Amino acid sequence: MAQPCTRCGYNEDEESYEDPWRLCPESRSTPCDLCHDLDDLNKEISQTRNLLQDLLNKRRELSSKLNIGHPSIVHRLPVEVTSMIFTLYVNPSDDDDDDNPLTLGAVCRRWRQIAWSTPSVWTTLKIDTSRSFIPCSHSTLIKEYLRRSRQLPLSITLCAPFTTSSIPHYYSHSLYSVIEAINQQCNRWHSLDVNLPCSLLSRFNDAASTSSGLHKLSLSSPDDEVVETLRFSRVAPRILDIKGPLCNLESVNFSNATSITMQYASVDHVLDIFRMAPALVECSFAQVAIREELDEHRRVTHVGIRSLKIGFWFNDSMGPFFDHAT
Amino acid sequence: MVILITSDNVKYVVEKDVAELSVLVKNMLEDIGPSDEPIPLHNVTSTVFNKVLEYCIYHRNDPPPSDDDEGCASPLHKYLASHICSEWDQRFFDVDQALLFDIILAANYLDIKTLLDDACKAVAHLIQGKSTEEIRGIFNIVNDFTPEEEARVKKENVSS
Repeated sequence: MAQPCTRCGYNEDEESYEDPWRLCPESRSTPCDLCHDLDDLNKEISQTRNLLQDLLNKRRELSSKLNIGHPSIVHRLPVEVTSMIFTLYVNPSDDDDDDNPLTLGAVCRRWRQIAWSTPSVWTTLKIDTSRSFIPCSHSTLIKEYLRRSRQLPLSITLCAPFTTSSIPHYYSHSLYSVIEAINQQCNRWHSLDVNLPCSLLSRFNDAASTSSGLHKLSLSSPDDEVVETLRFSRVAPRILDIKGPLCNLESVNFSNATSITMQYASVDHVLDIFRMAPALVECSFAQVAIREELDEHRRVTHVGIRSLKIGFWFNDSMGPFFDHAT
Repeated sequence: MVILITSDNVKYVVEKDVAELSVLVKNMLEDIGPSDEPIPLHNVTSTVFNKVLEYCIYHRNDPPPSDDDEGCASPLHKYLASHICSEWDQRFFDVDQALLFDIILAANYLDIKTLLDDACKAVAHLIQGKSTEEIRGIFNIVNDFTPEEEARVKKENVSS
């Protein structure tokens, strides 16, 4: 099928090749010479197109045989080596954008077969809804990703550029099934990086988790909405990065955390985190404020912290913090 | 010293620590014990082995891939995180495709993991950021999908 011209929009396929003499005045019983010529030309075009289609079909058949008879140099590689190349292709060691395994599967049948049967090719899932809308077919595709990765650890990134009040209903609805599918794989989360409105953030949960391999958990919501409901009490990430104020510390498991970065926190929350995160080595709290009067006798000592970066919202928070933390 | 003979009957006298970067050679040496007997490398020509040897000599003192990088999911990821191709490696792999694939096949046969990983990385780098058509062009791969399969593939890629 011909594509419309990108400049003028002309599309040859839209041209009518029938009934050229419709333009002849009704009074004339026979079409004029011009209409006849046009009709002949249209027939010729039609026959040529059919001939071209036949040739293209033959070419395709021969191409299939050619891949078998004269394999490309890359087809000389054993399947396991090709799998390895594919894994390196989707997980580059530098910070470049990851490439999509679907591109590999669109090259030829052999590559498709290898890519589809290589679980490590499907372990990185990046969904940026600011780039594309998530239709139902997309959510099916995401489930396919999860299925093809078999039991390997997953690195998942999911972001949508909306706040709770601005997200369209159809949009959040299409993300529900995606989040549900991701939740079901919580045992396999290796890194989970989510930037979503709070209404969607609260749909994540680790209820199905029986063991945790979670290395990094990054949670944020556009415009720093207050993160009211989180359900990450079973998975215990090593690295925690939470942007946006967090209401309930009990909703996150800090027990394995060695590194914590939080945008907003109250002084009592910071002290609680020190208590809840015995393995903590480095932490950064960008904006700390005093929320309520601290119990005079409350003292928290942490012996493991090697690096502490803390910024105070108001100067009057600094004194109470250092009075209660050692 | 270890004597290795390539498939085109070229003899190489190689230092033991260099030769033992190949797990295949290492295992063979262990099997035959102390001996001057040459070890045949049936699947490697001298042209390719010259390159393999160049790599092994340059990397003979490299530490083994680290296993303690907890930030990565699989052993392969661990290796990747700890091993970034140097400029020397980039120059080493800047060869024609036929030789690059021969190096991969040789590394696979000789079981030299770091060489295999680096060579595969070089191939992956060739196709990163490329479209399907461009990838087909690079490796001279023929599109063998039926029209129905092709339509499905296109639909799949549009929705991704």
